Amino acid sequence: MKKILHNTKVMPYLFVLPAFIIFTLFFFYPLINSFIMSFQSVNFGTREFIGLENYKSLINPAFITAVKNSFVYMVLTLLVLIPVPFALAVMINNKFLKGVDIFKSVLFLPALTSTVVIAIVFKFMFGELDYSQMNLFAGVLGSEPLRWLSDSRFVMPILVLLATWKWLGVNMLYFISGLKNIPEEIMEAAELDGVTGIQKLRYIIIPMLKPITIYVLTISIYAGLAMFTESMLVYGLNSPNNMALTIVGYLYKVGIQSNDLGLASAIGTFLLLFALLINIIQLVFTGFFKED
Amino acid sequence: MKKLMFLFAAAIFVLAGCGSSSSEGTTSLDLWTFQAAHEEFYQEMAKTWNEENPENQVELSISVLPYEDLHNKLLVCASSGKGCPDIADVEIKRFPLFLEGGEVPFADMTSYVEESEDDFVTSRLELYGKDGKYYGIPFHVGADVMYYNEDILKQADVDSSQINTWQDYIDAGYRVKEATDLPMTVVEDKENILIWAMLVQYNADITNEDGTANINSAGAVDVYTEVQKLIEDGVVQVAPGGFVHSEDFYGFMNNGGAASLPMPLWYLNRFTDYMPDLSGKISIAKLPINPENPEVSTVGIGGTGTVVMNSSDNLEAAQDFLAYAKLSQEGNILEWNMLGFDPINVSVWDQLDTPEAYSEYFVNNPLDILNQYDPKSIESTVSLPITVDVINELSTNTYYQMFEEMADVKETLDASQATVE
Repeated sequence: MKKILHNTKVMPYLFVLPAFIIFTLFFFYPLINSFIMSFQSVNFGTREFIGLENYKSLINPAFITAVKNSFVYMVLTLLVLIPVPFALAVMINNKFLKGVDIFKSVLFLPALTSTVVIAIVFKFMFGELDYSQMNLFAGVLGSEPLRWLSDSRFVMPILVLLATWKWLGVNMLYFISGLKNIPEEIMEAAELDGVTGIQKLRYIIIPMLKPITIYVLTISIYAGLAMFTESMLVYGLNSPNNMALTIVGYLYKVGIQSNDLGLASAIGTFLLLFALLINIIQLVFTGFFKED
Repeated sequence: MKKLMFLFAAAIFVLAGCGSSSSEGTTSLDLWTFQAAHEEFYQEMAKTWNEENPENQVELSISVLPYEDLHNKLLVCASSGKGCPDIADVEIKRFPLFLEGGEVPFADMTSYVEESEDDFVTSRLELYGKDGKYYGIPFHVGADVMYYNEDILKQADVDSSQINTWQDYIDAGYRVKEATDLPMTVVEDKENILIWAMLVQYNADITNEDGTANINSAGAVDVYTEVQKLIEDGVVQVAPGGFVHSEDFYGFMNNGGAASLPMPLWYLNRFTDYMPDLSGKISIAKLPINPENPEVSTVGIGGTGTVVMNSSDNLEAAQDFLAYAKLSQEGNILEWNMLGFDPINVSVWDQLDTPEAYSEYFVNNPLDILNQYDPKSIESTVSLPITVDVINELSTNTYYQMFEEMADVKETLDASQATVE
């Protein structure tokens, strides 16, 4: 027993074993199985190969709308959730600012709330009665009460606002941790050389934050494409003209509501490949694969 | 190390011991439901069952799961054959999915129903059956009735007892609109519950008996064209929130937003629970009829079928208990008293009393309306696997396009029919 415990060759494997088992059992096996299922028609206890039928039936208006919605949502969240937290992080990291910790905590607080709770609160806020929160604001601005959740123009703004409210603080924290990693000496040297604030940002901070930015970008792309809870809770599974249907929302409808797990697996496989593709393109462009 | 192993093994045995604690003569039954109110009902029924059958007691272990969770888990366990409860509530919209495959995962309840078949509104039982067999036992008839806000009708000088046909109803709607500027009623664009009974009365149920979609029938075109015209004239409006179970709608109706609402009898408790300000103003009347199809006086809408899973280890005990809980007179009386459901066992209809909450809230007695119906004349909607797809299409695209975007009725219905096919 002692021999094994002190064997430097065996122990590392023993330590990763639990993680490896969990990964294989709950991630790798389902991944492979759902890939196989995407070529099958699945019913109670029976599975039957049907070739590419599932992928063929993906070409339908609902799925195309879902892909479009998820893609637009992802792009919009990237446009908001990278620059804004970045700017906030730079501001908060300023050593002359007082009460930094309060700002940090307040901005991070929403991330601790459950998405379900936020989504339900949003649903009520954007209710269509005259005395719903947002209609009270609209009234102050001189607008008639709006039917927020029945109007396709408001879908993306509402969902992106929700995402911003929840994730702003998290992304900001990533950037702050990146900023803290920039060595003081470099900053001091730059100051001695008489570098202006803008130049510091352009030539020191942005390049040195690149690894963090790439990380945030990569997870945000996947999170954007896989968004589901928010749209389902605010709009329900059946939104008018599918205006709030996302890829995972469609997967859920097909797989769970209509019990077509074969087709749902095809959607899952598509989502995986789609997210991989976009991220590979993104990583190539940001020079992630280039050797320094 | 050896000691540790021993402790570990001991712990496992202790834990395993906890699992099988059913004593002699008592059968433990697992039951899944998605309604907390149903839990109370089943426990109450188990209590009386145990009093009547001391030899053959049951002990219920009930899990109240969220609606989506329950059906998802049940689908998964039914496909794998493992981990299912003994008894489960399955909502009508999800029910057909379980009947789709060759092998039905539910136990056959036909022999229990046949013992006193004449007592039941069989059209409701057929919803949860296939090929002449009954699998699920419903909670209620769900007879569609009309709820009137008498306060609003009075202002327009409309007498609700004089409204017999849908044409009478529409005429009254115009008078209400003129006198009060309020809509007569609402339509849903995210659901199809409200308009379903009317569609059946006009031979336009959304699914055909042969399992095909029936979205663009002539009757449907007529009904929706009329609705569209009423929306344009302000007599009908789209329900705030898109359906009549939304918080927006409850608020709207509670503030006297519309003069009437055609909904099933099980909607009674939505009034008492969510629209307290309407207390003393709401009367209940029979649903208006289509004079060309007067036999369909009302239609049963919605519902939940309770099933025994085939995989149950206590199949017979579970079936006996389910039959007692939901087919017997005692069970059906309790369904009304406790849950406010119009029970499917007709033989108890004249034995029911109106709960105090209802007699205080409503102007007239809901039971008087129920007893005016001939149980055998109550139609039911068709519920088949394709119904799920049709409802999805209607509540996502069709209704929004027709009632919000005011698209051409015939074209929209044709397009939706093509989509579902």
